[in-house]
Amino acid sequence: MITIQQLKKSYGQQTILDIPNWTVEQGDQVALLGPSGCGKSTLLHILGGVLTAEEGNVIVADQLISKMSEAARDHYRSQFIGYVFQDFYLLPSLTAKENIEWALPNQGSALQRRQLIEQWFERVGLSDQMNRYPSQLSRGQQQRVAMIRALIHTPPLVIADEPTGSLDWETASHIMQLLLELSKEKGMTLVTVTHDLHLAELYPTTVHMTEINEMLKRTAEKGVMV
Amino acid sequence: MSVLGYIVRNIKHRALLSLLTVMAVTVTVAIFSLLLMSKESIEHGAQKGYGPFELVIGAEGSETQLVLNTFYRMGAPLGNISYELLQQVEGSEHVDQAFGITSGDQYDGYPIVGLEAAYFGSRYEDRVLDSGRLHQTTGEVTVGFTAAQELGLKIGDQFTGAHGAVVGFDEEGHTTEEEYSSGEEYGSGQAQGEVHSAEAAEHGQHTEELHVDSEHIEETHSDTSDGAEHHGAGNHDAHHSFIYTVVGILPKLNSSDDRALFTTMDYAWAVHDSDEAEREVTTIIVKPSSLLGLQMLKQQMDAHSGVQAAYSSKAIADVLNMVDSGSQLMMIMMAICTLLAATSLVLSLAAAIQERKRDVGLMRLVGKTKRYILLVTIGEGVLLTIIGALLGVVAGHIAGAIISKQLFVYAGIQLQPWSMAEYELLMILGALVLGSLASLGPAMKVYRTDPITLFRQ
Repeated sequence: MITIQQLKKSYGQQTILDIPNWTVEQGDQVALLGPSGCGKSTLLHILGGVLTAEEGNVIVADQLISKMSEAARDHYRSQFIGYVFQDFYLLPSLTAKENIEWALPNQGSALQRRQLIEQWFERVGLSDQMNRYPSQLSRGQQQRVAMIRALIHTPPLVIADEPTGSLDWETASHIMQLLLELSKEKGMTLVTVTHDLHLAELYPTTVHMTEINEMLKRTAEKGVMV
Repeated sequence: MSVLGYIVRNIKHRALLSLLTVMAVTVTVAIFSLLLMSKESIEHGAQKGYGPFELVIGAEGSETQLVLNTFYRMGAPLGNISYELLQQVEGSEHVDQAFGITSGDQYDGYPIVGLEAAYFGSRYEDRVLDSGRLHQTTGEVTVGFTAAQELGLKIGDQFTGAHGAVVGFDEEGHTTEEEYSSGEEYGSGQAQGEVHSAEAAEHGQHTEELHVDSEHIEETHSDTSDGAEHHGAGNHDAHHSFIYTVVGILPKLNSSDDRALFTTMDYAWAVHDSDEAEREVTTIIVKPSSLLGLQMLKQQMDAHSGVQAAYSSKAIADVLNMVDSGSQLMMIMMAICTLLAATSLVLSLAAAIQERKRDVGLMRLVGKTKRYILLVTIGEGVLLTIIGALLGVVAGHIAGAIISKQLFVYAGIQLQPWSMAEYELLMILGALVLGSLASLGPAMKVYRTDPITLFRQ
């Protein structure tokens, strides 16, 4: 599902990522762990086609995104990626339902799309909140709406960047479990960045950035040497 | 959800700011629209204001004043010329048609103009009267369309006119100068004299109130030289005993003739009991037989002592040049207004886009195309501008319709509020270009920013 080969990413003179090889199988649910600044979010955005690396190949769902043009990456994101953010980022001028309609790629008839949206709202327990604006929803409800937006078009890869970072632990746990359930139901690959080790334990696969990022290994060795 | 649908939702979400932006555009466009309408109306009115009468003959003085007073009944007449001169002009080989005009009296603020009925056939050709017939004998009146409406006159109505005097007072308040009745007009005198005239105009129908003023008028008549005293009191009596009868109402002619009451040229002589030797006219309007004839006649008239002949077109062109100068000043003011509206638009849109940086970041992350994002960000400004521009045009025309009647009554400017002025479409297009440009800058800036940065901001 995900294949990374000889990936290098720098910000100015500072190398952030140096991943010689990393693969994730189709349908895997991976929690990415690591301290702040270790390159977790950068890796996620490279997988999402938002950032590009200087070197190496990144292949997601048979798409060689490291060689794509900007327009091709726009299309790639709309078809192959579902994004879940820490701060939800729902459009404040649209209702919960309209937020989904707005993001849903224009496939199938209007009726089919409407039915699909209603099914998803029912699935996450928000059938009665569809016509409310984001400001009228709780944070947990907003994140559930954001999850629908990320998953409704059943992308091969779902990327979640600290999806529960702004929620209380009980809600966070519930949301994380829901995210795992939904992605598993639809056979989507899930890569989640989190700081919370307890939440990470919910994932079948846990990867620490030090395991895949050679840059972190070198820094750690230097630290030991010093 | 369509681009338009999303834009509309965003506009509604920022209702107050959107409303202010629309209002800024609306007010600017409305004022522009009204200005263009007025300018066009003035030019149109001026150009068609003198019909086929290329030459105006009157007393010496300002050519512009002579023409404006004759055709638009603006300002004071210059004075009178002899009736014999009219007879001479009528008999000239250079003249196709000539009409003498006597003026100086009014009814309730509307001028009574002594002018033979044949004038209407010559100027307006086959227009049909709104009602009745044209005046034929002394005392019969054909009323202009607007004057009839404003005064509530109909066929068979009778009224008496009021005399207009252009008087001046010395420091002690005594009358020092007075012009003969047929060369006088209300509201154009000086200081106290003007006040009296205006009062007389306002109360033209009320004998008692007019009497107070006419005493003053009587006094001014008595100061005139050469027998004015003879008909001073007589004038007063004559004005109130001379009965005008409405026999016809003109159709709407869209000229200053809509605001006048027409009677036979000899009314002034009848009212003032002038004998043949004293007969004078205020002006003579001439339709020349040829271009050469026009020039020859002008030279002949200019050779007469105390007489001048003015080309109508030249005087109107002078006026239009003045209008253009005024318009240019207005345009500068409007440019400042436009700059303010554009600034308001840019600030509003920049604020909107700033507010929506995260939205734009989100659009990029969910894979919305560049075209979509630019359409959404620029489209909002363009849509607000379109709404503002259309509302502005409608508001400008409605304002034009509201003030058109009063503007015509008081200033003689005939607005055409329900037709598009010449440059109005260009103005709307300009507003759209401005709106697009105002939106484009902030939109491009935000689009070029890395989406991750947009989220961090």
